[in-house]
Amino acid sequence: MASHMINPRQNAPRRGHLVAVAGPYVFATLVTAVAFGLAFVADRYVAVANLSLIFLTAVLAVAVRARMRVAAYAAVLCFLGYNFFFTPPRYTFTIDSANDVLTVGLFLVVALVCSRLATQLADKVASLRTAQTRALALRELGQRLSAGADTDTIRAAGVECMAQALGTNVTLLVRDAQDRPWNVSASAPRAPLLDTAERVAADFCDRLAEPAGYGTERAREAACWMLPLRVNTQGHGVLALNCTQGPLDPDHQNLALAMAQDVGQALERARLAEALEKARVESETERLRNALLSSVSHDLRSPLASMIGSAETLSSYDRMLPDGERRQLLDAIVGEGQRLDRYIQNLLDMTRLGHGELSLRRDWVDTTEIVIAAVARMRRLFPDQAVATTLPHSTILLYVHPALIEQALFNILENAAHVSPLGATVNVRAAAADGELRIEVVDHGPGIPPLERERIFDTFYSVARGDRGDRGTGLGLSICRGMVGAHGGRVEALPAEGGGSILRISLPLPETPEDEP
Amino acid sequence: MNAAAPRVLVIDDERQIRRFLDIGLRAEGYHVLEAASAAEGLVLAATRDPDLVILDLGLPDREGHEVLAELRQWSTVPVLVLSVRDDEGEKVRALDNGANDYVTKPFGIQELMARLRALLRNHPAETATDAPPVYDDGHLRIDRTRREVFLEQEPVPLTRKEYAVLAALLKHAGRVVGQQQLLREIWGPSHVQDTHYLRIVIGRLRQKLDDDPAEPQWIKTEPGVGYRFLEQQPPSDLR
Repeated sequence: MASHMINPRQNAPRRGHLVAVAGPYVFATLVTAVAFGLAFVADRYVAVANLSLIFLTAVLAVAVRARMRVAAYAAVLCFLGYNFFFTPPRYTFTIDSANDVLTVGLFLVVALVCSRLATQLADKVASLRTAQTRALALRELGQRLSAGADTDTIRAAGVECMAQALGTNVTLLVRDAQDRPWNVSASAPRAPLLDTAERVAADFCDRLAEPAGYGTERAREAACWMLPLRVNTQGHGVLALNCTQGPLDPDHQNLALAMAQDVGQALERARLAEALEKARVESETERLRNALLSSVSHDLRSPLASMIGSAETLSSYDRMLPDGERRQLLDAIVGEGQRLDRYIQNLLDMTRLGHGELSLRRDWVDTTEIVIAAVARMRRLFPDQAVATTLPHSTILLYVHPALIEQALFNILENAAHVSPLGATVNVRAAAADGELRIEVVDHGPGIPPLERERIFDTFYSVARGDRGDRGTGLGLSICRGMVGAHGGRVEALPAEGGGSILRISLPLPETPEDEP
Repeated sequence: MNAAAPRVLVIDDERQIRRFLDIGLRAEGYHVLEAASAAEGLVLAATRDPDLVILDLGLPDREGHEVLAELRQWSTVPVLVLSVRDDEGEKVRALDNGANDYVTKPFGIQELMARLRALLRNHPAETATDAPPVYDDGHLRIDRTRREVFLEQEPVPLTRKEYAVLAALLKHAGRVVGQQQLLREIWGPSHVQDTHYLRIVIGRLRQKLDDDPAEPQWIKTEPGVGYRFLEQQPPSDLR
C-alpha cells in the first residue's frame, strides 16, 4: 500500500532532506561533546574506569532519539575519545594496562548492545503511538460517517476528519458524468485552487481507480495526491490531498488510504439507501395514484350517473310520471349531488394531505362547538340516523384548525352511520383525560376484526375497498387520521362493549391560556 | 309584477346558478335583477337601487372583495356573499369588507331564503336612529337601557363582558357578527387574535342563558367566522 507514493527522496533530493539526514549525526556529535566535557571534569575526582558510565549515558540518550546507525556512530565516537583522552597513556590510541583494555573494550560492546535495545524500544513506542493515532483517527471518522444520514453530510464529515488527521488540505471532487467537469463538493480546512494539472490527475485517478497526481507516476506535476473513492465499480469522486507543504510520510499515506476507503464505503451505503428509498416512494406514489384514479372514476361517476339519469327521466316523461315518483327522482338528484360534493371534498383533502400542503390555521375553539357542527352535518345527511351526544359541562378549549378537526370527526360519524344497523343509535362523547381530549364515536355495527383495526385507516385499504355502493366511506378514515395526525393527535379503533366499535380521536390539550382580562 | 316586491340583484358569472336563483327568488315573490360580471353588477346596483345584493366572490373580471369595497363606498344595501367551502378566511374578509352575511357553495335554496329574509327584515332597523330598547321573546328579555337580562322572569347576573357580547350580537340580530369584530369592539384592537377570551365568554353566556349549543335558541356559532343572534318570535298572546 505504501508503495503507491514513490518516495520523492530518490528522484528529487532537496535541501530539506539533507538537513533531515545530517541532523541526527550533528545531534549525536553534540551529545558526545557534552559527555566529554563532563568526563574531563569528573576525571579529576573518579577512576578512569568509572568515566565509562558518563559515555554510556550519552550513547543511550542518543539511542532513544535516533536510529541505530546514529547510536552506533555515537558509541564509536565515545569509544575512540575515551581511549584517546582518558586511558593512559593519554592522547594516544594505545592502552597500557590490561584493566583499561577490558574497560574500554567492554564499554564499546555494552554501548552498542544498549543502543540497539534503546532504539528498538523507541521504535516500538513510536509505532505504537502511530497505530494509536491511526486507530483514533479511523474511529472518529467511522463515528462521524455513521452519523451522517445523507451524501452531503458524509462528504463534509469525511473531508473534515481526513484534513484533521493528516494535517493537510483535503478536497472532495465530484462530477455528474465521465465527460463533465470536476466540481468541489467539500473541502477542509479551506477551499483549494485547482488548475488543469489537478483536473488531469483527478481524471487519471477516477478512470484507473488508483492514486494519481503528486508523488505518483501519473500527472505528477499536480500539487495534490489524488485518491479514488470507488467501491466495486461505483465511483463516488476523488479525494485531493494537498502536498505543497511536502509529501505525506508513509504512516500518513497508509492512514489516508484507509480513510478514503471508509469514506467511499459510507458514500456507497448512503447511495444504496437513497436508491432504495426512492424506489419505495416511487412505487407507493404509483400505487396511490392508481388507487385514486380508480376511486375517482367510480366514486365520482356513480352519483353523476344517478343525477343525469334522474334528471333525464324527469325531462323525458315529466307529465306521465305520478307525483310521488317525480318527487323520488328530484330527491335523488339532490342527494346524489350532496354525495358528490362529499367525495370531492375528500379528494381535495387527500391531495392536500398527500402533498404536505396542509397548512394549519389554528384557532381557539370550544370542543363542544366542533362536535356539534359535525353532528349537525351528519343529521342533515342521515336524517334517519339517531345520534346521542355526551358533552363536557364546562368549556374545553382546543387550539386546532377547527374545520379540519370537524371534517375528521364528520368522516368518523359518516362511517358510523354507514355501519349502524337500522334503528341503532350512534353515541358521541367528548371528555378530557390524561392531558388530552378524547372524542369517541360508538356504533352498534358489526365491529372491526382485531387485524383490521389499524388497516381501516390505511389509504390503500380504504381505496381498495372502495365505495361499496353507497355504504363505504372511501378515503374518509385515512383522511381523518391524516388531519388529526397533523395536529399531533391520534385516531384509533377499539372494540365496543356488546359489539360494534369505538373510534377515538385523541388530541393534545393546549396549556390553558390566562383568563379573560 | 308587484311594485312593492323587494328587488334582489344577483351578481354571478355562472349561468346555471343565476337561473335557479332567478326561479327560486321569483317563486318567493322577489323581483330579480341579474348581472354576469362585476362591471355589470356595479352598474345595476347604482342605477336600479336593489334592496339586496347576492354577490359571488369568484367573478371573472374583478375580485369579489373589490366589488364589495367599491359598492360600500356609496351604498349600505345588504350584501350576501356566496363563498367557497372551507375557506373561513375568505368569509371573514368579506364580512370585514362590509358584507352582511354569507352562504357557502354548494348551498340549499331554503338556507339562502332564510338568510335573505333576515337581511331584509333587519336592514331598516339598522338605519333607524336607535333599535328598540327592549328585546323580549317571552323567555328571554334584554333591557338595553338598564343593561339587564331576564330569563323566564328571573334576572340573569352577567359580567360586563358577557353583557357586552350579548348586546353586540343582539344589535345585529339574525346576522353573523365576526369574531374579530366582537374582540375589537369589546376587548380592544390589540386583542383581535385572542379568540379564547371570546370562546370562554360565549360558553358562560350559554350556560347562564341555558342555551343548548346543539340546538341554540339565541346564540348560534358560525364556525370559524363568528356568532349569530337568533331572534325568536314572541308568542302571539304577548304581542
